[in-house]
Amino acid sequence: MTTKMFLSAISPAKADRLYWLGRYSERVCTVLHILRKYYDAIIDDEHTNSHKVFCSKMGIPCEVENSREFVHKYLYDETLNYSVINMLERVKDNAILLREELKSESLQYIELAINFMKRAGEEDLKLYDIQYVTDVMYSFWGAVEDRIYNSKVRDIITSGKYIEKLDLYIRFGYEAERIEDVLSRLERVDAFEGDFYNTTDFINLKQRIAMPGFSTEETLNVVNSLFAA
Amino acid sequence: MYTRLLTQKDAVNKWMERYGVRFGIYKNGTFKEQIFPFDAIPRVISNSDWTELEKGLKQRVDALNAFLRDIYTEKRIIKDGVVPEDFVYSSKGYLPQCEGITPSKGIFSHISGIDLVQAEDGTWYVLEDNLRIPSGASYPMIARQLTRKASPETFDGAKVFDNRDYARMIREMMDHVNVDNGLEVILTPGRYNSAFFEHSYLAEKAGVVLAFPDDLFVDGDKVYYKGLFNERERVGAIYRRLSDEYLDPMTFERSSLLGVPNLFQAYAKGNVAIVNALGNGVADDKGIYYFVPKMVEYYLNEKPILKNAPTYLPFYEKDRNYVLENLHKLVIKDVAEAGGYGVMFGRDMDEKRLEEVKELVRTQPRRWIAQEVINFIDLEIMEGDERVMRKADLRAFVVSGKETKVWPSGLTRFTRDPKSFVVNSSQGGGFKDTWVMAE
Repeated sequence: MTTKMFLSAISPAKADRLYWLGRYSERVCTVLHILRKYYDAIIDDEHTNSHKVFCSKMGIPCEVENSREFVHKYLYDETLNYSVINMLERVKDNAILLREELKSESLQYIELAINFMKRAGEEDLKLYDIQYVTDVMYSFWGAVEDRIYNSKVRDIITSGKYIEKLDLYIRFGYEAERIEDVLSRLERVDAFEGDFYNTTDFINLKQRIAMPGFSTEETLNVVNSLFAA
Repeated sequence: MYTRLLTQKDAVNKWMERYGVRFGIYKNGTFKEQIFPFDAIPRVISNSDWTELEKGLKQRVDALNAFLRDIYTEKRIIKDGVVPEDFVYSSKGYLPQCEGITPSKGIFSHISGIDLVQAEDGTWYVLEDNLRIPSGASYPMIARQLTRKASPETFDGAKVFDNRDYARMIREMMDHVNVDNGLEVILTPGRYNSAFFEHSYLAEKAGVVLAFPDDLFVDGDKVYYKGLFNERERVGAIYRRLSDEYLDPMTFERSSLLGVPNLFQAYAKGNVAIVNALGNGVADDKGIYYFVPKMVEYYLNEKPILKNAPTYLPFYEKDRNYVLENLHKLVIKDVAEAGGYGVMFGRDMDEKRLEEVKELVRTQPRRWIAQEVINFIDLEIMEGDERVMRKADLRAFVVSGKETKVWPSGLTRFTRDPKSFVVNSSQGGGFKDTWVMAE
């Protein structure tokens, strides 16, 4: 019954939604993971400036002095376009337009995450309470793998995921081995071949990562231009 | 029969939230998505009631399709004096551009939503035919899926027709009208359409592509789906979820950003099927409604099985005089409005308002129809933990492909306001699943 749909081309607008769905979904997972590490430092010293370091690496403004206040705003403030709640809104904005590809069974995890996050904001839940969001986002990734039958669709989302991972790992100075691992995963994504990505930039990126001091603005620019399609 | 389900109503509502079962609404110019209030008590239709309804619905839709074929070609029904031409050509839904066009397989109304109410004596009355883009089938469809999930024991041995195959019916119909075995798409205007959930859910369940206007283009009078690397895929059937006037800016509303330029040309040349066909509005006009039982007799040579609500056309002098004398007990409807708007009950008007409306009827008789108020049955709904009675209607869905088939379910909408008869979701109404009993 559905063979015709599998054969269909993917429009540029759909590819864009799939790619950004992958990026924002991964951003939620990785940012929460990294934020927990920074939050850990706040436990010992409330006056630590660790949140300022976090903001600087993320490239976002840091308008509050207090670390705990920052975490609250960063998680829940809908007026900040870089907050986690807004990342989830962007996930939803893209996903909701892709229901026929993702399937309702996958979409439900995004609904669960965003509904939980909204309630968590109202109740001012702490960072460790929102482990649930990480849990359901990982369920979402499992559903992407399992429920999406169109491999091209799955591959574009996965490409977005790994590109976001690269971006964040480079920003936060992860060691080269971790980044090379993500690069090799990216290379194994079937759709990540030919026209889907910028071959020259990919080779350039691999060479950069092999050099010391690769965590630079230029490296990030290369990462963000990889998905040529 | 469904007592167990009621104990699980919170679980069902959680599933609804989790599946994002919503509809959009514009309030003060702002788009808001909200949960469509679901009541777990189903409307139950007995098998014998359904058998009769099913026959009547098929008959009515077959007649309406015959009317549309006739109006855009031979116009026999006008020539024979059954329907006055003024009602056809002054209808906003009549599209002169469609003259002479017969769509793929000759079907105009592929998906018809027929709104009915049941009077206290059990008689079903048709209130409205929706032949353009009737929406709402996805809600009982997903409600059934989720109620079965939350309370499987409710359905254990319950002899209820399964309504989850609506998408398959749509797909079969699209396969039937498809031109040159092309791609099948649901064309949505986008997320900010009030029925976007339905567009995306039906695309998922029917296994067709959800296309946005920018995904499609026309070249050489054929429609294509645009690929990422300039590849193109021929489109054979479009289930469009946007109105005629926005479908093609080159033919209709020039300012439309939602349409696909030159789509009409491709359709007129028979190179793509459009579901439902363009120009159907002429047959679901509130004024034309009056003539549907006559269409059944004229085209099918059969007695109409389903009744219209007793209706008066102020266009006719005799009817106009009756309406002017009895306005206080009638419901009056503006033929140009939909969604529960433009509906006025005489009993709710004071003397001054009655006089104003009478003047409108005198000066613009074609604009109005008037109907006797049918005291239709109340259905039980849950309000908190209490059962209360509210007015409800039924939108039945008829799918016309190789055959005309009635979906054994429907959208039951109810008013939450105890004083209101208006059940539309846009006016705060809720919905129920509709159980059609298999025996």
